[in-house]
Amino acid sequence: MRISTEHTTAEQAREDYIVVPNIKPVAGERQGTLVNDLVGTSTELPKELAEGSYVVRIPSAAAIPRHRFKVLQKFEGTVLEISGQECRALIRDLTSPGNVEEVTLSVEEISESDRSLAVPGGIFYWYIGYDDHIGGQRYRSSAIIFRRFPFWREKDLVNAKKKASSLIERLGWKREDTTHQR
Amino acid sequence: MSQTLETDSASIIILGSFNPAIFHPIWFKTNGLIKPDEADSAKLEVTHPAISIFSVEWFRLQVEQEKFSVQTDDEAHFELLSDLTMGTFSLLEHNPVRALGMNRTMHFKVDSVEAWHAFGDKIAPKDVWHGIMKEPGLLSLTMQEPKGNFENHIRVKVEPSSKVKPGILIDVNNHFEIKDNDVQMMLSILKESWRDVLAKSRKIADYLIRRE
Repeated sequence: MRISTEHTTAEQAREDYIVVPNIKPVAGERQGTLVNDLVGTSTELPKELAEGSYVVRIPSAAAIPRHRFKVLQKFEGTVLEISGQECRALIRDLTSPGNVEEVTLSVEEISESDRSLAVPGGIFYWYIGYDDHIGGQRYRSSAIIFRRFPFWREKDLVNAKKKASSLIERLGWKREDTTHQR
Repeated sequence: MSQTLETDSASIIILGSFNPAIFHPIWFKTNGLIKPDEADSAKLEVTHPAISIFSVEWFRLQVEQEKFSVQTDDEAHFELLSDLTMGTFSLLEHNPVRALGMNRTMHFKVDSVEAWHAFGDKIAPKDVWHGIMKEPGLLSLTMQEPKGNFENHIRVKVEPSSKVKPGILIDVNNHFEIKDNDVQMMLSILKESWRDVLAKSRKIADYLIRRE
């Protein structure tokens, strides 16, 4: 079996599979046999595995998606304030790095499942582009997606504080207001 | 030759030692790495101590005992793929990892079979083969450039596309060895390199595809 950090192509997917004799099948106890006709281009679970064979497939290539989002412009934003139905944010252009501007967006633009993340300090990506469908239709589209990152842990905060202190010291600055320090 | 980018995927492959059974949509939801509705509608293919596979609308994840793979075909989620991986391994901070691969896989459609052959001839001249083969054709070509040292490299693979016909697959693998199984080092490389790696991979593909 090849093992590398390369993405497996459809052709390799047909060739690269491993036989794991001690796997208890998920879908039953049926004894399986080695098969070598896995269809590499399918994203479906191989029939043999679903039925409890011992053959395990290494990644197959995904089928062509039904639509494709072609990004024309993308921004990274930081929420500054949520006020009623408005979200004030600072956005940084990732397409032409260097441009930073403040915008006000409607909260309606943010998906329901991301609204809990739309708080001051929340970071999001804003994509503007074409949504091309398999039938040939093209829609101009915009998507706001909030970053999901595990919460800061105590040791991360301690490390960040240490780095900040070291930087302040090197710059020769004096810390006068410590009321907001954790 | 005119060409159109038909599919554009990004993937992150990590080699190490994993416990596939924990990589379940519920685990990702509980840790705030995916949305609750994504977890609820995830297509779970298999969860087993030897392999786990599931997919949500924008990514597909497969974890074996020695390999973690996550892939998206949606350009609007390329950044999020890195966040998902960084979030995962920030939580699994003691999980040994030995290599990181950041990949971009692009399928270009070309306007004619003639142009498709011409591209193959340009990138892999057939003169040397004509002496021994009647109709030599390019099936796969891989070019490697060492990066920093010989353990890290960029590997570019060119093949006929299996998805679009006539089409060309250009796959760029950016491989980094991770010393001492250090997850923090892996996270740091991913955080600092992901955007640049994707941009450079696209640049390589654009450069090659425009050779005539």
